[in-house]
Amino acid sequence: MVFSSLIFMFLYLPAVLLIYYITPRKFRNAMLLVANLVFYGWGEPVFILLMIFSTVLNYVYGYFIEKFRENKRTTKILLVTAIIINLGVLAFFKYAGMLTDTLNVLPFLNIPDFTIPLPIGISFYTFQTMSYTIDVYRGDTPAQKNIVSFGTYVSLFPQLIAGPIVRYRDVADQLDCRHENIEQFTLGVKRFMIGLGKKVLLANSMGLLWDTLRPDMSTNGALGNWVGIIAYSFQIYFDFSGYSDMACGLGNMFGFEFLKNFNYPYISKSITEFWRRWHISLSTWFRDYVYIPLGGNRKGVVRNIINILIVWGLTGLWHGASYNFILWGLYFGVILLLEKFVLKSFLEKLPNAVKHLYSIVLIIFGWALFYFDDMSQLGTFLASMFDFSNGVLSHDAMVTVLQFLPLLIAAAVASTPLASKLYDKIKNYNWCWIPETAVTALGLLVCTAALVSNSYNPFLYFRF
Amino acid sequence: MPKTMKEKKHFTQYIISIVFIIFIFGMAVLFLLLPKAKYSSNEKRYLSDPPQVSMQNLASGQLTKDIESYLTDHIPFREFYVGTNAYYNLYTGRNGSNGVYSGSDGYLINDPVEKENNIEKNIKVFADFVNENNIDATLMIVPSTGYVMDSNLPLLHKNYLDDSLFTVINNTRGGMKFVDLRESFKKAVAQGAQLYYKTDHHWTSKGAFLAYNEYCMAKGLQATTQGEYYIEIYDKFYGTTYSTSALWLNPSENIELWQSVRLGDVSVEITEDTSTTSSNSMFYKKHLTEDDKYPVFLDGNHALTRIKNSNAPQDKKLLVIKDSYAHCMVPFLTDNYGEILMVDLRYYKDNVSDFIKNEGFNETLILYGLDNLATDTNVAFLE
Repeated sequence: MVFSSLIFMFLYLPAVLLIYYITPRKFRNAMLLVANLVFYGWGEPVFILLMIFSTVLNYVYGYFIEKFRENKRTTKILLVTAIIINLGVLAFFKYAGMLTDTLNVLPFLNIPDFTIPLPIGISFYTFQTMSYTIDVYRGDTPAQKNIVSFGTYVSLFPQLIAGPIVRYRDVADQLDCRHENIEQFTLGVKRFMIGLGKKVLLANSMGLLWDTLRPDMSTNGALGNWVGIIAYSFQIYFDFSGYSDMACGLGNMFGFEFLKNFNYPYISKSITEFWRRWHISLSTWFRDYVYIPLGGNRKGVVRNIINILIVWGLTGLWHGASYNFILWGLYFGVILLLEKFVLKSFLEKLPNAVKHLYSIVLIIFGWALFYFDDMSQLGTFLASMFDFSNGVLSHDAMVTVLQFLPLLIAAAVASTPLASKLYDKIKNYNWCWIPETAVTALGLLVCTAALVSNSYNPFLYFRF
Repeated sequence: MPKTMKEKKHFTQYIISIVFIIFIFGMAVLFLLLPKAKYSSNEKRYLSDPPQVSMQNLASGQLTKDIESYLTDHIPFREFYVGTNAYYNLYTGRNGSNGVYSGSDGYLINDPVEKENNIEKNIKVFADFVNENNIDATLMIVPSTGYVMDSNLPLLHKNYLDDSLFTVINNTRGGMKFVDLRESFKKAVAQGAQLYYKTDHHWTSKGAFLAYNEYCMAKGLQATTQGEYYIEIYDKFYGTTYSTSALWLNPSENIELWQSVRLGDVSVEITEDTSTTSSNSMFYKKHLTEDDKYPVFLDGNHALTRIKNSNAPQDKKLLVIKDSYAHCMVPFLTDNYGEILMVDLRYYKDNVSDFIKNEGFNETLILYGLDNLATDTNVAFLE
């Protein structure tokens, strides 16, 4: 189930909210656990078993790691096997196809192709459960004694399928003792609405613009293709950050507080800054559980460079089972290295406008790498961005671009903290509830309209 | 210092929570309580039935899919939301909605066909068919509404490809006569005639009548003149571009039925699969009670439609291979042909040349709208 759907907004959410708030406090985790499993199993009920397996596995490991705390050797073996099993499950479901395709390149091998449907959110919750086991091992958090509370954490529906990756220690206290209240609930509604608007009104339209321009990349003209990939950059940002906003907002409605996952990444003045603002929970995860354990920057420049490339290769691979994602990760790894060791002092001297331009152009090229999993298509597209033989912008591409121009401008403005600053200015006035309520009501109306319209399929060629 | 309410918590802070709760719960409750429609006339389809609850459906994931489609099909105020989204699209720059331009004077016009299309392939199939059967054939392609009515289009619109596609057609048509309607249509529109509906993709009776005249001129036939028709006018016609665009505030329009004074006894036989129904009128007026009234002409799409007129020359027999544009024009042709057989290749999958061989149809008219023919994938099976 996804948040931006009618089933979630008008059946699941009202039902879960109602039952949650009439359930006595001490049973709320159990109630949430059941609700989470319904949410998770909605499309593919069989994957509930995987979720239960993952929960029990890490619960048991956490329990024994804490129990044998005194015995370093035993806990180390436990931790390593836990990591192997967790990553093994992830690898089996997510990377088996990629692996067999790769091995089949060897002439003497012929592994039959087996495609397993990818369990939703497995990349997210595997990382969450691993953070738990590792943190217990490190003594950063006590093990969770109550398997219901632990299950509620692993399967918590707001962040289950698209993040943020909530580390156990960040919500451990909230799991056992949280105080839902109307202020937090209202904050949740605001964040949910912002996320819903980003997803339904901006991300989906930008996706439509990209899908309209992309097939005609050979005739659009260079500018048309630039607008196309910019639209895709907006789509991916508003889609992902919108989902995170909705997740944080829903968390608030149930008394949880998750850490911020996006912080206006497109206003960055360097790629280093971009990665501090983009998908923060993932970067933090890799920093804490891969980069620092590898030695980070404490073992000399060469090891530091290798560590950075490992982290970024893995970050890329995490995004999908395809080589272009590894390439995408390494692309940023290399840029980050350059910024760290070569460009730093030079970049600092540049005017801000140039820094912004430098960053956003590199980010946009990154999204082209991210989008095309076929290298020859990528090459064709990149070439078409600099091909002026069809002119700057064909007539049809111009029409398409102009039709989406108001939304492109809205997307550009929404990528900056402008609206947030404006809101900070007015939020303490006692009339602020009027625009707030108007925007919420209008947002609900327009977003619902867009969701309902997805199902409106005039079947016009049927015997009229 | 502005008056702030930092210190005092006021309930107005929470109004948005109340609005949100009322909205999602209200929709949920109304969905559960309101009666459900069976049929969506705008979409011309039956809406989903209530899901069947069973362990088997649950385990396979079918149940959750059914619940979702049941909810989306029966969500309260569905038409209102669809319309709201259409106007949101219109006012945020799209110049229309769902692939339909909102033009001046109430015109809702389909956007142009894709550059990659089946026109050349389909015309080639017709040319080969005509060549193999060695028959006197005429090709008539109805230009896109947007091409003819370009002065009513919004300023920002994609280019209509009619001119280049008509060149392709002309180069591919082989031995077929070609009635090119572009010039006469543009001229008539410039003089104020309405040749296309505003809320539908078809041509009006006036448009079809003009095409009939062009056809008669090309074939050397005596066309019935405009004064020789009784014209009935019906209002509240909402056609396909209206329901596709969901721009519900667009006004309805009139539909005209032109009946020739020269008509004798008429019989219409409609064959679908193995069953045949007949009628003594070409106008199926039961459809005038519906929103989309175009099926009033010959009852809409059917595999085979055979029309006989006792007052027309009985030796004149015409085979029409067509899409729905023909339904409005064929009634005019009945003054000149004693028997007309319409074949719709979207529904008729048997051999067509048998009619030519066995029933003595010695003239053929191939009549399609440009947009339909550009996307049609059934012509390829013509034999």
